[in-house]
Amino acid sequence: MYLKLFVSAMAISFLIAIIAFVIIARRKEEAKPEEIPHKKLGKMLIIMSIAFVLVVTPLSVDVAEPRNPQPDEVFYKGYTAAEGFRVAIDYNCMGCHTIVGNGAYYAPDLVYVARTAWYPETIRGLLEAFAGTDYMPFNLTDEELDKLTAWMIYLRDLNTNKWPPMPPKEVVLSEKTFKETSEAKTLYDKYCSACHGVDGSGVVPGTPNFRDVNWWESRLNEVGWSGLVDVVLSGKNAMPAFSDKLTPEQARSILEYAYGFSGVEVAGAKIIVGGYSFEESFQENLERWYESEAAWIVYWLFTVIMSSLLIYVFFYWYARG
Amino acid sequence: MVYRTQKLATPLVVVAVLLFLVQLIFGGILALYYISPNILSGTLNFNLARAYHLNALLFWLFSATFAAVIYVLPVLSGREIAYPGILKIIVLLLLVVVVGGFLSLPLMQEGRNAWALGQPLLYEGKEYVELGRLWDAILVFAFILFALVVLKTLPPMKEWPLALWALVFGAAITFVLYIPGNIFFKHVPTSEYFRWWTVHYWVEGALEVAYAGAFGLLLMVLIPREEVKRVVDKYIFYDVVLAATSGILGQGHHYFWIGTPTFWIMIGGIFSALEILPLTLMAFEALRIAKKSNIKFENLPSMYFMVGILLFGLVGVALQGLVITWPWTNWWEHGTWVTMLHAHECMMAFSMGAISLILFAVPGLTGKPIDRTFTIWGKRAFYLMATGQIILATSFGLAGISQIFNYWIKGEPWSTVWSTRSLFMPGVVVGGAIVFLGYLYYASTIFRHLLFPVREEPYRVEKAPPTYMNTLRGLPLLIVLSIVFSLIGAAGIWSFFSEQVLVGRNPVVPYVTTAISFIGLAILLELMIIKFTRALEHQYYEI
Ligand SMILES: [Fe+2]
Repeated sequence: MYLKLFVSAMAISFLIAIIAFVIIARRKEEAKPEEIPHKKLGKMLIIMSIAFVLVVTPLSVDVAEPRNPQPDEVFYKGYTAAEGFRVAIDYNCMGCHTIVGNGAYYAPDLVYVARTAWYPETIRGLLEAFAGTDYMPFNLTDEELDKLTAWMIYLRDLNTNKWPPMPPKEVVLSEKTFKETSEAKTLYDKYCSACHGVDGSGVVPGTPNFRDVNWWESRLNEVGWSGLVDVVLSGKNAMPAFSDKLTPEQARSILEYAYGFSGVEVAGAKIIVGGYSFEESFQENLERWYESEAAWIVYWLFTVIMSSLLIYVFFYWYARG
Repeated sequence: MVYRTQKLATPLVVVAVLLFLVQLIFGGILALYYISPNILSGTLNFNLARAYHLNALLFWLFSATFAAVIYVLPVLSGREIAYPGILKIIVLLLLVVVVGGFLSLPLMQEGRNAWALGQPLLYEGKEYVELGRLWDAILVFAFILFALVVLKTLPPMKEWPLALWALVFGAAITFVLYIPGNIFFKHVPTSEYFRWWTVHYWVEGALEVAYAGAFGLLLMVLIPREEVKRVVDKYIFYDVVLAATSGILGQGHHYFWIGTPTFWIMIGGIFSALEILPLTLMAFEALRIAKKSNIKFENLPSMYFMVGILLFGLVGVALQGLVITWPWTNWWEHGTWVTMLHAHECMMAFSMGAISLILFAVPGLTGKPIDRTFTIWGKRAFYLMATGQIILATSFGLAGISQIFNYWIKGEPWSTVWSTRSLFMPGVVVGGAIVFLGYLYYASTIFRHLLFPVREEPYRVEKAPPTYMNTLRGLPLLIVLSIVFSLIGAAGIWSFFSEQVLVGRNPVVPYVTTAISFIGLAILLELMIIKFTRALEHQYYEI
């Protein structure tokens, strides 16, 4: 679909520009020295393009209906990706590596590294192996290593329209990618199983069924992981607050453990990472309203109108300026 | 020299020349890292050297622009600059930012930053905008003061020619756009989104408009005829419309793969391909004006560098941009050294603009004449810098192509990618050395004028026959040829998608086509530079 939209927009705007040039511009007389033809049109073009950028900015930075994981909601050992980004800023990672392809090209791209390593433990292992060597000549504390790991998990999961290109690779999801530690199971059995059941099916009436994947999806859509963490910590309806017993990170890991009940076969599931086609991502992203087919009609029209006018102005200047 | 306040530009000229040296030295240190990665590791890390390389560039461009504005402001408005005291404070603040900012950068080796209100204060690990909020705040304060001084000095806005509008607004927007890219956002797509507001809108928006304006003003000063003013007005208008529209929407080419929505792939792909329109217009318009005006330029070096900004703009900014801007080529080249080819030629275009302004101002500032040595050294500086940068940038591009194949497609370990890429380092080193030689000529020209008496006679142009190399003859054909070569390059990178490469692991087609394209563009650029500058010197303007 994308290829068709792109090529047709390009071709049609060229055609319109040429037709407009033949019909309008060629019939006009040579402009007098002091007049500037199409002054209004030119100003309109600039204003329209500024307006477009301003309108789509909230969509682009994930303010309306996010398309990326959020930095406060990706954890590793209790640290968030947002904290990890600060560490990355402090050591200027971007001065050697690229991040989503931007930065220096001295060292490998971090999204590429995160996706090839994939598992949090492997990512942390890499960081630990290189810290303090001639390649990364500074000592990172354990805390900094954990924070950076959280940040790299977040980079791994960004929706980058499939960039960077890499040989497709099958990743077998281990239990650890979701249920981070056996600590989560111990805590769940201790605090939650009495009401929610050891298998998540719910013992006390009124508790949700953790085995229902639809329940998870709708809740995650509504409030996200952080919202669910809040429920655990501050309680809801008959459920007591656990803020004095659990840290937010523990609550999160318990929730992820419980998510595993939903039959989403986390452990052992296989996914394909990498590959050489960004066009698939158009299909995959159609679900959000601003990337839906209806929205694409608007973008297509806007592109055709603006670029045909732009090319026309160029032709006009060349022939009559 | 007519106006007393113009003299305040001198310290900024000195700062600009010295910071350029700093930039080149750190560029050399970065090259050393490719010879041996542990060469300075631990004392002066790669990322620190790179931060200096970039920030020295930014600040010498800032200083040169400030200096140029201070120099032309009284001439344009026909009176002394208002508030010379504030102007001195501004110069001082700029120095504080440079010294303070540069001294706090080394803290990144220990990761010791200070944070307040969610913002890093001393430095920030984001390329191009590495200064911390503390220095940014001082800088923005200086910009605001400067804007007040400029507006107070100039005649009322109604009387401005369009070229002046373009210069003042281009410069003002450059400084306004400095802000969004600097703010720290914890979400990487947001952070990158706004960082490109600064970096892209500088290069492909504000600076393009400002230099078009400066170029126009220069023409109006050099050829004080009413008809020239009108031609310039018209060309500025069309140029600004095309540059602003294609530049503002062409921003999308940075938003393909950073986590921003898919629609940017279409918007960015199409409008950034149209970014060649304003620069082609500028090239053709320059030919047209040259043909019409037929004047003799006294300050040849300054005009040479003007030609440099024009042609590096056309080939480096527009056409090398066209090679990599299509989604199907950007997918492959993004994050590789192919981008460095584009970046180094782009930045050379703007550097040449700044050097041109400095060379234009220095004889006036010192009140010393433009003599033989000034002209000859200035010309040498130009040819050396241009040639060196073309060699350096082309080497980066060729190395980047091997990086695409080895890293993205074969998935080789980084050490292999590194060593294949390093095969092209000799080209980078030789190119860099030639640029440095050019710098020595440039710096000597400036300091000779600033420090020593200048008593030589003026430069006399030697008679030469109007051969192909001495005239503008056939230049439109060369421009069209360059467009063809850049399309060959785009097709070459696109061919990485072919079965032969992806499955058969045979990179011959993309390697050969991109090599033809990059080397062809390099030769065409050099050829156009020689023809244009010689035609200017001998006044053979017929096309
Ligand atoms: Fe750009």
